[in-house]
Amino acid sequence: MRRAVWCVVLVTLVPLIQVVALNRLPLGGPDLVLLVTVWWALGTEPARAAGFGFAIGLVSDLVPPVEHTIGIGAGVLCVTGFLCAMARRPAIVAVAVPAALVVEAVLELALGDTTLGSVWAELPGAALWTLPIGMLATVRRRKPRSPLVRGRRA
Amino acid sequence: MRRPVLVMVALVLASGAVAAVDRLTPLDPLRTAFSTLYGTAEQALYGTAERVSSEATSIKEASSPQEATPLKEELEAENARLRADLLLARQQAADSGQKSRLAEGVAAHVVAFGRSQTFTLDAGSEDGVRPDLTVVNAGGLVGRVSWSGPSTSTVTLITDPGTTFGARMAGSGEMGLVTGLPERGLLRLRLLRADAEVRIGDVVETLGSANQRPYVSGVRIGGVTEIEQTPGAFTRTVLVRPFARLSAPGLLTVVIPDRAR
Repeated sequence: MRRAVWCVVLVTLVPLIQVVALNRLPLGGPDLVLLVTVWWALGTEPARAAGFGFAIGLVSDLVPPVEHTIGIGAGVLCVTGFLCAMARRPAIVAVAVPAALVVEAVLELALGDTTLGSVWAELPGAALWTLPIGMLATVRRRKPRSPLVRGRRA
Repeated sequence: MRRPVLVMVALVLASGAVAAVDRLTPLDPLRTAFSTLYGTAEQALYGTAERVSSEATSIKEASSPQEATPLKEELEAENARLRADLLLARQQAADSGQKSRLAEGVAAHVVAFGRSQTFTLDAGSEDGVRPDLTVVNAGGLVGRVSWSGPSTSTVTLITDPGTTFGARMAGSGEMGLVTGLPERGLLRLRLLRADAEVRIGDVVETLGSANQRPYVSGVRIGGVTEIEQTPGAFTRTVLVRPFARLSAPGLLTVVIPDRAR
């Protein structure tokens, strides 16, 4: 029950925080929506992670001033969440974050929502911000969980 | 093991279906609903941040913050009206003989930022803001309205590389086309005459579009910072730094050239 409440709070508020506070940082700031999706996926099962990614992606597709085809973020974050939950290893962040950013940019380019010039201007900054924060967050997340995992294995 | 895969595939197909529908018939009702909901939240957050910062720096012109807010709004609205009047008056003086039209400016602030050269304004179609209107600030041209919801609208900055528009040198009147270079925060101006004389610091202004949309003519864009040497080219290319600080634009004016009253 508490998890469900948290899920709704994150899905509705994180895309808002992204546009109000983070995107104005130099180099575009971190992609918090993507980070939260990965972080949530690492603590849940694949089907729920996919659902969470879909929901938060759909909201972030619709929060102004985002101007691309509705459904791009939903699809990308759904797959990202699913794969992270399947992998169940925090190290997946190192692959999932850049992959999600690149796939989203490629889809936007393919649908004509953006231009190569914009992608060149945004993608490096987004990766520079998002990847280190993702690594730090997952390292912190692993610590309290590791004794539990070891206990199960023993 | 199979069920999660099915769930994921179903959701990806759903996203694809939504995207396909949005491409064929834009899902504007959905966008409008979210712009109302989240636009209001963005405005509220912006308002709170403003109040906190103005109390911290304490603008002591009015006796209390409750009085300061309407005063500030009044001044901002007047500023927008005057700025729009000035732009249109300048242009009417240029092509004199034309009957005078009523111009109006709407004051607006940036309440949210997009990743790709866009931001949200706290004024929408209820205030008369429509797509393809010019947006300026105290420095000069900022961009154009690319989408408008009921109470918020989206502005695309001039540094967006996807848009090209007409410009001219303020002194010589040489004409050219401007495209954005977002990674450097500059603009590239291609002058149509390859032997046009340009110097560093020359002012570039808008050429203006038919019916003043999306760009009103004669708005200052920026100053020439670099002249690219391209011998034998058909056009002359220069780089222009926008006068308006696009990362922190402050008070903005949406120019409405022909408001129906």
